[in-house]
Amino acid sequence: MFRNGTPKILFFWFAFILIAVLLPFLLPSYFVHVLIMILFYGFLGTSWNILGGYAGQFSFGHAAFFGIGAYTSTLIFVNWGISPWIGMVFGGLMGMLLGLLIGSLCFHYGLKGPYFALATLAFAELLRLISLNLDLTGKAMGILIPLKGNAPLSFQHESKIFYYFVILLMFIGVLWVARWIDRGRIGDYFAAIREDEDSAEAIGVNTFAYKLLGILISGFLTALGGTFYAQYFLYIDPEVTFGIGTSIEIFLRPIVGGMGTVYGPIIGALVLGPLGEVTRGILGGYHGVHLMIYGAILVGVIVFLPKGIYGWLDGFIRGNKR
Amino acid sequence: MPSLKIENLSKSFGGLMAVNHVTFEVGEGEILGLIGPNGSGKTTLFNLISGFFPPDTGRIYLGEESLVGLKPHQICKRGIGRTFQIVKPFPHLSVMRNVRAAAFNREKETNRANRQSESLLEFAGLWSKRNELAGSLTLAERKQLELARCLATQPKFLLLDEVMAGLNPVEQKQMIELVIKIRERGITIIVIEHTMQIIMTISDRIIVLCFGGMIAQGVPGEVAQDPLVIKSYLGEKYRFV
Repeated sequence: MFRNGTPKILFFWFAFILIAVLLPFLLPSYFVHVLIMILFYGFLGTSWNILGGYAGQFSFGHAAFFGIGAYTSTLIFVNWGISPWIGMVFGGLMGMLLGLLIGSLCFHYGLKGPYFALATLAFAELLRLISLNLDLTGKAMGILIPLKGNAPLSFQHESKIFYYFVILLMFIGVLWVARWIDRGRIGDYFAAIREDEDSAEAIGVNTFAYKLLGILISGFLTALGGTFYAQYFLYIDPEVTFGIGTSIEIFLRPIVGGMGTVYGPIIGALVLGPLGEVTRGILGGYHGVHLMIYGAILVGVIVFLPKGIYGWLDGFIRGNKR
Repeated sequence: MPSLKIENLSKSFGGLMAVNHVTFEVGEGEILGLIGPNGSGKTTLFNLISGFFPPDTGRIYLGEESLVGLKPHQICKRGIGRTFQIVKPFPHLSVMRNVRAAAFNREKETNRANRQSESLLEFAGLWSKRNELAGSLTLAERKQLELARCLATQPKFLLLDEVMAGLNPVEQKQMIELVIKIRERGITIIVIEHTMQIIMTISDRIIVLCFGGMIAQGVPGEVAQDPLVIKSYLGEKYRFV
């Protein structure tokens, strides 16, 4: 376990955690919100990345998992008063169940690339339309989560700092999962599937089972993010949970930061988060202009940095070393 | 060690009989050469054995166990490894990770998988390239990698599909040495090759396919003298020395 660079890395992590813990107490509330959103999208991006980046199964409908998580914990809380903390776990399990359904169907019939992407999108749209028409989910009105004040046990707090620490822990957790996958057998198998499925089968990889494992892990984690969203904004509706916009937001950061890398999604979130805030701040008067800038940057990254920012930095550093 | 038995195996694509009632058996430590003109069904035979296509009729046995209907990864688990005629390394992964992914077939523990892969890379002569991306290797290196990756799954049987094709004489010589070293490890090898000199030298026994059917089998000297083989594959002017 201990390599030459270990003390350096420990120091780095210590400094990172110290800064991460102190930061919200030093910054005004608005910046804490920006940090929360960076970590939140870093979390979702990392969750998506497990299936889309590592295993190479590009999901265009991850909002399906996100929304399932949000609605499960919210409905349990609103109807039966069960704490969203418990609802979060159920949401995650529902996300896994949905992953099992989507995965076993798509992978059994060998849907790949754009066909898999469209199938996942179809599932997200299906769920959006169902929630839009069901009394249980409040139709287009959505669900307003009752305010409980400072009730950490009910996953609610008036201070943003509470949410900051929750999402910080969630993010560190998902980062740990991604690192664990990246370094071991599962990571190698995912990479093999992404690179060449025939070769992967030939070296003993059960490609169906491992793709399914990818969608189960990814679906579970993404659904946890859905619960966090619901509790942070205390309001959900079909569009913000199951909408295409949400699906795009989820995979945008890993693409910009670097697909199939541990730190790609958070790097993407660190770049896009503040960028979105700045463009919105400057160009907020012109409705939609910040989205155009966003789009332009995405195009730029895909054209000039096809491996994402992390891949580019990695190549840059390696290139210098040689 | 169990033997690999092929009985009456057939496969057709549309109206074309790619493999037509082929029957043979390979035993321990043997090198079996598979030759025949282009389109005679050699690669299809490999695809049937390794589970990439289901056969139309016929049986494949490893010892007592039937392999028909198993998925490629299950066949790999049972100890039959294969290489691809058009090599398929994982281009964006390092050479080391290519091999390690395969080593995980039998070894679940990462550190041990690392060590196994390292020793295999040395064995295959790829040690100095271990950190390169597989996509940046030369053809000869990619073929070595394909072989190393296949060995990492710890097979008892190895199906080699033209591992020497496209290599220069020096590289071919290295590859032959590698194949012979692999046999010395007790691995049974079925090899498809077009260069007569190579196949005649390394094989213990040869099977000749033509239009999907077996037209001859025997030791290299016998097969080279067979009038049918000369007519359909080697050509009238061929003389095996």
